[in-house]
Amino acid sequence: MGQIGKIALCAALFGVGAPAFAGEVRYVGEGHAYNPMWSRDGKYLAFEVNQLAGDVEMFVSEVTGAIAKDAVKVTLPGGTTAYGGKNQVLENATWVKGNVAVFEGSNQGGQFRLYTYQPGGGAATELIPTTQVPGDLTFPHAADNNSLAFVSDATGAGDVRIRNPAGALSQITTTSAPEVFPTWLPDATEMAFSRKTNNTEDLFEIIVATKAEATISGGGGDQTRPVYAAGKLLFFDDSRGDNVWDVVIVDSPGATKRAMAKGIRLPLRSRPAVSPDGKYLAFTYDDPTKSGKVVVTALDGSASVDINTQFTACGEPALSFANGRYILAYTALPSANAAWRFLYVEDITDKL
Amino acid sequence: MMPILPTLFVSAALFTALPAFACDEAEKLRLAEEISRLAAKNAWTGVERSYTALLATRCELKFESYWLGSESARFLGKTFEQFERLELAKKIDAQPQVLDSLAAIEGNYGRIDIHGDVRHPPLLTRADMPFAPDQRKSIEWAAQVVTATGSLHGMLPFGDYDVGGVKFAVAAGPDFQPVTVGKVRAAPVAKGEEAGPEQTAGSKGAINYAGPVVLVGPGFLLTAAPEGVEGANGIEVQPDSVRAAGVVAELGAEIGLTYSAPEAGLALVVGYGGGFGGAHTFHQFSGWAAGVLRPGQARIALGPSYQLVAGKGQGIYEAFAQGDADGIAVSGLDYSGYSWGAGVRGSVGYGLLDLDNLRGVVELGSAWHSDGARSFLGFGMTFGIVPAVPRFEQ
Repeated sequence: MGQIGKIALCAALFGVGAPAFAGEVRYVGEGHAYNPMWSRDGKYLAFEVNQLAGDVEMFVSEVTGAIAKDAVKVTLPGGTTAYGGKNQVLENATWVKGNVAVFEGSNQGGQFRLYTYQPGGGAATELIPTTQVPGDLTFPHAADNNSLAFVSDATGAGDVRIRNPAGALSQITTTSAPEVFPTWLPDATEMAFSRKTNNTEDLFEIIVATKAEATISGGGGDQTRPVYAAGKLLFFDDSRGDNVWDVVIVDSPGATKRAMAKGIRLPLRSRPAVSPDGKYLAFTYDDPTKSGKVVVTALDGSASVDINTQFTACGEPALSFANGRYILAYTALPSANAAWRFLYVEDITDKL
Repeated sequence: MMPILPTLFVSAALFTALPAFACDEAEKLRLAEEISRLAAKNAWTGVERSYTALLATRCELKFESYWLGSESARFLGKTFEQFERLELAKKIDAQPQVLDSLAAIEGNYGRIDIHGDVRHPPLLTRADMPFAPDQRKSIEWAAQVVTATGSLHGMLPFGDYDVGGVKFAVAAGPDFQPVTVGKVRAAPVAKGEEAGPEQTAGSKGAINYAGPVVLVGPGFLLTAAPEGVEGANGIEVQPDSVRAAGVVAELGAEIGLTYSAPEAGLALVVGYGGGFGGAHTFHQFSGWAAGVLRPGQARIALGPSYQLVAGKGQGIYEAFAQGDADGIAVSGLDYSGYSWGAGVRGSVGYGLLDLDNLRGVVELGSAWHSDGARSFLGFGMTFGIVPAVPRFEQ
């Protein structure tokens, strides 16, 4: 579907002169589109394409006022051809200011390392050489000041490390339990992360300067993939039962969890889809009867909007907010018997 | 006695052939495989080393080698080298990714030509370093080049820079933007004066390099019978023409006095030249003060020398057989004696072995001396060590 997909400019649907649009993001090749991730200014959209054959490709599309340009494939250095080597896995993108994507990459079955890609900047470049931090580097997440948090398995258990804007590296956690999904408070003073304890993931928050740690949420089930929004913390929670996922919110460490959405479809890798201005949460349902829509709900509880689609199995939502417009990206099966999930973007400003 | 001319010819042919060998196809294949293997492991410094070795095979390279060479250059921050290698790859196969990479460089980097003093290299700085590591490395590499050489002919990411107090902006364009750096400020911490930003990477000393000169090898001596020297009724008794083979040995030291290529220096050497065999035995002891030039891996030395010769043998020159000595068979007469005189000595050599601070060389040398009555011409092919010229490998 990806190869033959077309950009469906639907500006006319929203009235002449309106900047709203909707359309598929085209890319070369086939595979399931996953994990769309907007750049900070909403100009670029990075996403993964998985053919379920060992490779995970990454593409970046430029989304201008009324069009999503054909996505450009990101390649890792090291392939013997200009198209890169085989068995490359590129995933988990985060964007820093200046429109540089940072992501995990593994070349030909090797270790996962962090790479950067700048649209129009050629092939990806390894960010942190193995001489500085060996082993697998995963779960990158960027703060507003371009500080980067990531997980390193150099000590045997996944530990959170940071790379400050000047490029200096430091280790934040040192426990024997593996930590995953470090997430910056936007000002880079604190971060939240998941830690696997007793076979489930619990959430913690740490002050970077003092390394003082506090439990945000623990107990039964997994509490994982935190994201800050308007001073609060949202995350996925399956404490109601295995693979029954909710998006919950807490005001502070240890505070009572409140469900923002129940029975959601858990994205493959991404955190809860919060708009950059911290006002809206987008999610999809796990229930097949509700899988044809994306729900966008205000975090203050003031409104909830169903974005109905003509597709099925909608998932992987991501929200951008730029130039006063809210753009929703999500993946879906274009029809019930379609082979691959595709990526769709839609201006939903007028629906909110 | 060894046949002199054929030996010299062979030596010269060997010498000139050393640096200019033909394509080594087997080595090329080995290195090409090595490059692919190293690239797959992200060992880009190794890829760059192998790529450089691949170029030294003088073989025609394939697309993959140029492509991976461009990637290693990118990893190391050598943006202009990356651009050049991509251009070479494009000539073989203009793949979209190659074109994209070329466009990416043109779209993010500008050409710059910085001229500064190698003895007092300026500092290249940029206030706001970009996040993208390849751009960061490009700046870091350029700063390294400027610090080592005082100059830069390459590419930098668009933006504002300072080199030795000269501010300039890098912008897009096909032409190299010249930036000339004048006298840079060394240490602006004068009394009562506010310290400004450092503009120089430090001054280099008067001596660029120093080290021993030790050379040894086969040598040849030619000294023709003198003309116009009085015979038996006069004073001089000279040997007949002498051709002798033997050894040449030189021991001394060399210092480099300049930093710009080709580096120039001075060598002070004491030498010994021995000619043996046949009817003659000569020992030459010399002192040599040479100016030295070191272009690339070559070494050229030339300068005045002074030698003392001790010789003995059988065979007086024909002119002696006159006057009272008329009719004497001069070829059977023994002689021995000393001679001394000034002359000039020169050598041309090439460094073949990298021995860290030293360089293993092979040299062809020649010397001419005169004691006022006769001339001594010496040749030699020597092997040994000379100081390596420290250079920044770009």
